[in-house]
Amino acid sequence: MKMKKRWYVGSLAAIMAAAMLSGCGGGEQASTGEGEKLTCWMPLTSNAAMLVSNYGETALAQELIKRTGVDIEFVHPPQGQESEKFSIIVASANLPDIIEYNWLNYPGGPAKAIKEGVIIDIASQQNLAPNVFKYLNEHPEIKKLATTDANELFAFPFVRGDESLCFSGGTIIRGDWLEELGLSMPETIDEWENVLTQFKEKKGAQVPYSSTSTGNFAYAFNTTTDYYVEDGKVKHGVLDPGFKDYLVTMNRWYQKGLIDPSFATLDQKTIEANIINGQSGATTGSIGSGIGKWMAAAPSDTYSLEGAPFLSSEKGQKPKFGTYQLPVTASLTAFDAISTSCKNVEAAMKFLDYGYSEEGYMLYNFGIEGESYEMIDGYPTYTEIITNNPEGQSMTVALANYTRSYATGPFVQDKRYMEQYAALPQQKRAWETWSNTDAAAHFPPHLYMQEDELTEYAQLNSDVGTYLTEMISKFIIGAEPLDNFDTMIQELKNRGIERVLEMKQAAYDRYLTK
Amino acid sequence: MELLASKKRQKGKALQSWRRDFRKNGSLYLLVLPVVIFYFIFNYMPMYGVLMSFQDFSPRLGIGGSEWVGLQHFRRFLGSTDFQRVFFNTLKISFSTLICEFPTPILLALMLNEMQNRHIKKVVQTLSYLPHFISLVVICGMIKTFVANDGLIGSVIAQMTGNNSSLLMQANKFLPIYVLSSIWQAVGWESIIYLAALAGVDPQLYEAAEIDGAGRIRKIINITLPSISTTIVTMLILRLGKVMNVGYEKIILLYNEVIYDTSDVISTYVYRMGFENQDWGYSAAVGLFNSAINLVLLVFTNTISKKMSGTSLW
Repeated sequence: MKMKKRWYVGSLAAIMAAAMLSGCGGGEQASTGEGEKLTCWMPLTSNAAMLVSNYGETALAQELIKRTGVDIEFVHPPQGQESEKFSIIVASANLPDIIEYNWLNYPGGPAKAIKEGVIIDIASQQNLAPNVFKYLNEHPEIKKLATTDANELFAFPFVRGDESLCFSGGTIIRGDWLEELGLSMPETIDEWENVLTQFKEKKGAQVPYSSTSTGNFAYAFNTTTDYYVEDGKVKHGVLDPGFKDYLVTMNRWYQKGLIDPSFATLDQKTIEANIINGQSGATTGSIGSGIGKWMAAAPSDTYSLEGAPFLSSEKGQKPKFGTYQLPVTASLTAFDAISTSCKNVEAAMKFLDYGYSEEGYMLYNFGIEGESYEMIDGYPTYTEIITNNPEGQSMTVALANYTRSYATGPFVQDKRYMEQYAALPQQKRAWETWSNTDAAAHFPPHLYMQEDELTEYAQLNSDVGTYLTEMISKFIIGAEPLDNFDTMIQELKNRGIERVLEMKQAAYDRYLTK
Repeated sequence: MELLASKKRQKGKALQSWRRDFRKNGSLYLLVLPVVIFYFIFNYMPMYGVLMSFQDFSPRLGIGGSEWVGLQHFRRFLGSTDFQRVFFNTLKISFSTLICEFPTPILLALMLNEMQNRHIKKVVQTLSYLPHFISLVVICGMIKTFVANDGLIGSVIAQMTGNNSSLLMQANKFLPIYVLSSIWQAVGWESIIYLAALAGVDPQLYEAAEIDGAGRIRKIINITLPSISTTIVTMLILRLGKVMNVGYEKIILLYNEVIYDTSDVISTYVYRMGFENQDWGYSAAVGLFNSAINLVLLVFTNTISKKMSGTSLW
């Protein structure tokens, strides 16, 4: 008996010690320059994480290493802790050679990262990266988006190679319900109200519109819930005349039970369960992880989801706003920068520049010819390994093994990826519907504040932003009476929204004249 | 001159006696060493980081290289529109938790102590400890589900009030949710220390009281409570020192923008500024401000307690 107990205590201690050690280790050490092997710190996408524990194990990375002859070791931060780990990495003396991160989020902007000696200005060594500069020089608008105000190239950027790739999300609605009820696709706010009411009354949807955001409905009042640009001016939707009407309408919908009463506490799982089980009839989402995923999980054959057109103030008019992403997208895995500690800049440049060459373009988008795609009539067609994986992997997971076109990375994305990824007719229709907007003309580019403005901007921007999201939600649920709308505008001004606009305007002007 | 010499002598004496003590109880010193190292590494070394709050801190440049900005961050916080809200919310949530939660483990311990059936006692104890061992993320997930508009508690309250939204979207419900769930989480675990104190009460006292004809309640009031009063006061002082430390994890997991009014506290504000806005210097300044108030409160309660009951931490 006593022996047993002692054994138990001993093993418990051992387990605890092991747990502590593994908690501390975490496999995040950057190796210290042995030979030519470079290190690359990058967040691992959740799709890739379903398949491998290290990016280096994917077929794509192995092929890249083989073709470029540059040996690279990849290190990943734990999912969900990327920005915390990034700060630690940046603070350390020995930086990894390549750091893939959303450098736009570096405190003070990417220009400051170069100035503080974290990363190098790639534009200073153009000869080492001929392909990316060839591409950028041929596409001056992309170059403008990818460089700082001083024309420094802080990273190898992810580029959406076609404008249509910038549109992949929007409002999603149950197409089969519309048909059953004899309703047409809603195109105005009144039609939406009617459709949602009927969903509630006739289809038993308890929460007809279930999403964390109702911003898409603001478009019907010729406004938006965010900053936008128009005729060279930076504006904020809340100061537009239509904004109060938007809130009044949403408040009415809330009281009628048309929008999910728990919208502020909704998580993605609940939203998905609602739309799949018919608790809701409309939500927001994207072509792949929205329409595609939910239709695959649908309980019946007749279940169908459609992309609803973005709203505009007049029926039939091209919508002014929409869900849009810049061609140089801000994302955790979109910018590959070379650190100042890089042991072999030439090799690192060679590795990253490959994605902008013709061969690299095909590899990043479609994978290995003969394995993951074949050229059929000059069209790179994904093979069954991707579309109908023999090991039962879903298409995004299979893509994650061979390509990075499903997410972002140091290359130019090809439209033909999306054409095949959006396999369902509903997805194709939604893609077309959502692309029909003037959002691109109204979406502000990446704006960089000047060094002496940084503190003030950070403070005012967060003061204004927090207050606004809070107030919008409160007006909608009625916790704040709508009569107080003008008080809110006054408070926003007290908090400095006009100064924020002024600083953004100056940054935008700098961008335009670059 | 004389004084200096005597001081020196005294110092030498102290050193000598310490040396003697060390030789005698060397193993005890060795035993305490890990604890000292632990506190040094994890509680003293990070204090260096407090310097950040006087800087325009950049992780790359570090504390040595970042620009000094003096009290700018503190001025910004005290002048900010959110200051009043987070400050008073912190006090409100803290003191409510303190007042409601502090007595419950004592009550539980007293009740368990009076229980005769050992088996039932064990079962009750185990059940009350259980929530302490569940990860906070899971606890908060459970709370969210319970108080959702179609949840166990949420739907009942929705029936009664006619307000059909998640309780976590109603500003006035946040405090009760927070406090009640905290009690549920902590009551069992915190009762352990009182149970230990109760075990140390001399049984002869009870026998004597019984002979004098004292009933149960009498015995609790006249013997049990006075016997554990030192423990209670010590726990209270320690607790007051943490008044401003409202656990940010739990609030961040539960709150949303609709109820910032009642749920946003200093520590969540620090978190948002530091990790979401990457405004490290400012975030550190707010945190330091918080700690300073904690320290004042701790000293204050300790002094009062010393005067009133003679019990104190130092």
